[in-house]
Amino acid sequence: MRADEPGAPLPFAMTLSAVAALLASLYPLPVWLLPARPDWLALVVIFWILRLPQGFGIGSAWLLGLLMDGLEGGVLGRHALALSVVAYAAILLRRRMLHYSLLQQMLLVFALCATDQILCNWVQNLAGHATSSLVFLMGSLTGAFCWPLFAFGAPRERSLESWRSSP
Amino acid sequence: MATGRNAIKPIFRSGPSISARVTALVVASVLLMLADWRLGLLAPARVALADAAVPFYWVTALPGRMAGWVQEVFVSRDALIEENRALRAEALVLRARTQRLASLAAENVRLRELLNSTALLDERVLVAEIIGVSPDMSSQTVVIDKGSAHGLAPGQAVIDAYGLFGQIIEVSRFSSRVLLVTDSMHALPAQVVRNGARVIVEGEGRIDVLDVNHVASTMDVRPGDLLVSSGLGQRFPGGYPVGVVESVTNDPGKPFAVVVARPSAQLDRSRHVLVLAEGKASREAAPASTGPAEAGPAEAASPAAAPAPADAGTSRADPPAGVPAPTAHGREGRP
Repeated sequence: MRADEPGAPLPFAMTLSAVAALLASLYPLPVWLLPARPDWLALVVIFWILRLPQGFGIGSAWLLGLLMDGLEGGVLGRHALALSVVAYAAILLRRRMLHYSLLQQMLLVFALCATDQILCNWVQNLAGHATSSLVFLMGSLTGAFCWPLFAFGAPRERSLESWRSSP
Repeated sequence: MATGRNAIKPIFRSGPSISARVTALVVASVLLMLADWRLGLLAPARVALADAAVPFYWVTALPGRMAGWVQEVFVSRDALIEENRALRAEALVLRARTQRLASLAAENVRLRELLNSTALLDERVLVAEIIGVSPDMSSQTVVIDKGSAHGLAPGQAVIDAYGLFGQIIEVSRFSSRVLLVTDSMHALPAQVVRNGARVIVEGEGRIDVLDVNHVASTMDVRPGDLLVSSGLGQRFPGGYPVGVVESVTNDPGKPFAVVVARPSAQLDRSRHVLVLAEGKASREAAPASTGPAEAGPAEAASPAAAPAPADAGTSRADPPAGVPAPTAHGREGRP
């Protein structure tokens, strides 16, 4: 563990952000705005994996997804599956992402959110709720545009310079 | 590269590799999905989860409630007086209409007695507030703030002030999930008020669209026709407005016309809905044979249940205005 990182995995902040993401995902929106709801859960998962990979991993993402499934009342395991895959991809991309500019990060975040939503949608289709359009990907787009809010957090302080300075 | 590897090492230090972990979790999710949705093994867990979800929905409903509260508190005296006057006038009109309805209902009972069938005249309802809307676009469900503690059970019909809203599919102690009539998994038998033609109305997954399926090109359906529930599926009571036909497209090459309707209920605006109480009598009702050509809701219903004393939160529903004497109450199911 690096010296500049806090030893404790910030369980309080993690729980708080997870609960906030769940609430934001459940908050009732007008119908026309519904597709544009940012994929808060994926954003939080990506954020914590960038910030504290030791404290937040695939298992945490899976649990968060399971909670969402329970709250939403859909097929149990749907978000759990999608978010664990997102977490896996985020861990693989983590080092690369830390070196990216904000715009590049947003692109990657879009791809990750889209992975989440496509997997969710795929399961939903298998369960019989047919959707034909790609409108559901709007959430990934708005999610990518919300990424700067998250990027103000940890990943900024571990930018290229900090990597260079450490031998 | 080397520094990066060092920095990322803590992930790998504990337990199996991330690939093994994600594989295990994906397999676990798939098993969970199969157990839940194919085998239905997780019903108790779902009820527990729905109970745990109530506080979340309560919190997300808070801003709306606060707005309503602010509106109530900071409303001017003049506005209140004005509203009171309007409500009193409306009550007068409705009461006048009820007078006529009473005689119609009596007449209906007599006619039904002649036909050797009986009808449930009034229905007990429970007022429920919508506290959550499904965040998932592809499934159209809402969560209401009444559950098994209030006597609700899956299968009960839900209406709002304008028409048929949906049915309860999942009940926990203090909340229930309502499947809207526009969900792509929902269908119900209905009939055209003008001529009694029977149709099946299916949801499409869009909040403002209902599909009327298998309408023969020769069937007399026109834009503007009101569709009411027919009660044939034994789940929904008959006579409640379901939708208004918006367009009828006849393609000569196809055996069926494409008929699209708009739901009557204000599915995306209603805040309060009525859950039709499940009368024990209407459940046990055995279908009696009726005439071959049904021009109205003519299925069997139960003997009129003795009007139970209204408990807290329970009132009696008068049939919605503009609907021809909804008296027969059977129940319909999803085909």
